[in-house]
This record gives sequence, structure tokens and C-alpha cells, in this order.
Amino acid sequence: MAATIEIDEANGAGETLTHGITNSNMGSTDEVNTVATSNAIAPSTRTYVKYQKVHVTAMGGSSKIDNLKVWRNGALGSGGSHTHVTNTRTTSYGGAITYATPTRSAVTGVDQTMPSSVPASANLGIAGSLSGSLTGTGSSDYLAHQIVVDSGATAGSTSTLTFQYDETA
Amino acid sequence: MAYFYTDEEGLRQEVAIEPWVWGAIMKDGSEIKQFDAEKSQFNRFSDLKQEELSLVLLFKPEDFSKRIFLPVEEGMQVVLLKRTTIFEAATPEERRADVYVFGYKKGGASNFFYILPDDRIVMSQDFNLDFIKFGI
Repeated sequence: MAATIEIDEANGAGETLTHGITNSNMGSTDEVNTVATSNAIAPSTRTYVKYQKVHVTAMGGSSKIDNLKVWRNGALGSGGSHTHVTNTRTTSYGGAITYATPTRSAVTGVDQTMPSSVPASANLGIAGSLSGSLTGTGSSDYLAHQIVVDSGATAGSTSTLTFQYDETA
Repeated sequence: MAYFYTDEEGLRQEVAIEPWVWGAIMKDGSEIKQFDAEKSQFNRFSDLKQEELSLVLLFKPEDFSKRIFLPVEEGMQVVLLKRTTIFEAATPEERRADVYVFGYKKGGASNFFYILPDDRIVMSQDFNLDFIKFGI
């Protein structure tokens, strides 16, 4: 059993979906596979919100994909108290967040702190529920996240995302 | 050898063998294998009726000395899945690691074996054990 999983991202007013993104860089533009050095984030600003999904492109004989978790590895950098906000949460999940044209403003529902270690249970839903599952090809709810940069931020921070899922044959 | 699975829509697809696979003995004495070499067939554990299970075995085909037996008791729900972690997702350094979760839930009790990629085994009552701290 080996389901095929990719990470997709949507951008723009038209919700243009890119399959199998090659980076998750956050920046001062709404762009997939952002070049970080060309789209630096100024202090006391937010990055454009990222809308990403876990996409099952083939079940590979498995019967179910569920228990989705996402977290960040690595610090947000020095020069202040930066935060990484998201819609993901392990309790009181607000259902699937609706895509909106990415903005640098705060987004309703994207106000939880992105975990920096593996969550104790699912924190990204499927079909609006943390107990949801995929039994065929399809996608998770959107993972929406954004970095809020403090006033004293200095350049050079790097962190990455980790995803985890259960596959039942 | 190739193994095939035919889904509910009649689509026949080839399934790659796993590093760890299961076998089951049912209460009627029949044996079901995840990868049945005689029939070139892949069987899904989720298609088995839990109440008819007598014994479940998880083993490493390349080294049969590595195997875990689970006698199935009344009221036991056998859990058998693969948990995949995608590290450094969407980066050139992206890597994926699979951990097999094999155990049971019975009433309020539970017990799971986590088979790490290097075949180390961690036992825990926690269904969401943070096995990453074991270095995978």
C-alpha cells in the first residue's frame, strides 16, 4: 500500500491551484514557489497568507487516509517575537476554511499558533472535520498560514513544514 | 513478483510490496495474506471482518525472524496502519519516513507497536506517540 501524496497551493483571485509545490517560502507577494530573496518581508508586516492542501493523487490500494497533522520545524528568527499563525488546531476545529484571495492582512480563522512539534492529534481536517478521511483521490481542507514579523526582525531565518498522515490498507 | 488489487470500481492496479506485511488467521482456520503469492493478489486489512480474526501477524518478508504476533481477543479492535511523515515538505531536502502502527484497542485500554524505518520497535499505549524523538 503506497498512496501518492503531494502538497498543492492556491494563489490569486481565481484560486489557481499548483500541484506538487517545490517550496513553501513565505513572502511579500502572493506567488507559488516564492523566491524568498526577491520577496523579502519587512519588519512589522505580515506575509501573504498561504493556502495549501494535502492532495491524494492515488490510493495505491489503500482504503483510507486520515489523521492529518502539520507543524513547523525551526525557529522564526531573531529580532523580536514573530508569530506563525494558522487555521489548524486539534480542538474546536472551525471546519474547512474558505479560500479567499491571499492578503497580507490578518485573516479571520487564521489565528492559531502553528505548532512547532508534532501535534498530539489531527490538526488539519478533511471535509471540514478532524475525524474526516479520504477513501479515494481528493484533498484535505486548506491549510492557511501566515507569518507575522516583529519590528526588530533580522534577515536569514529558515524553517520548514512537516506533514504527517495515516494510511490504512 | 507483481501483486494486484481490484477496487470497487473494477479497476485493477498493481501494488508494491511493503517492508513489513501482515498475515491473518481467521476463526474458521483460513489464512489471509496481505500479499498472496499464489494468487498474485493484494488484500486489504480493512476488508477483513474484525470479529472473525483469530490471530494477526506483522512480519518482515526479507527477514522472517522479525515478526510480531497478536492473538485477537473478544472485543479487541486491531489497529494496523502506516503513518508517513513528510519532513521538510516542498523543499529540495524533502524526505518521507514510514512507521507501521500495529496494536489494538479494547474498551478503554490500548497498546501499539511502532515499527520504525530501521526496524526498531517502540511500544506505547499512546495512539499518537511522538516517535520522531527516536530519530527517524
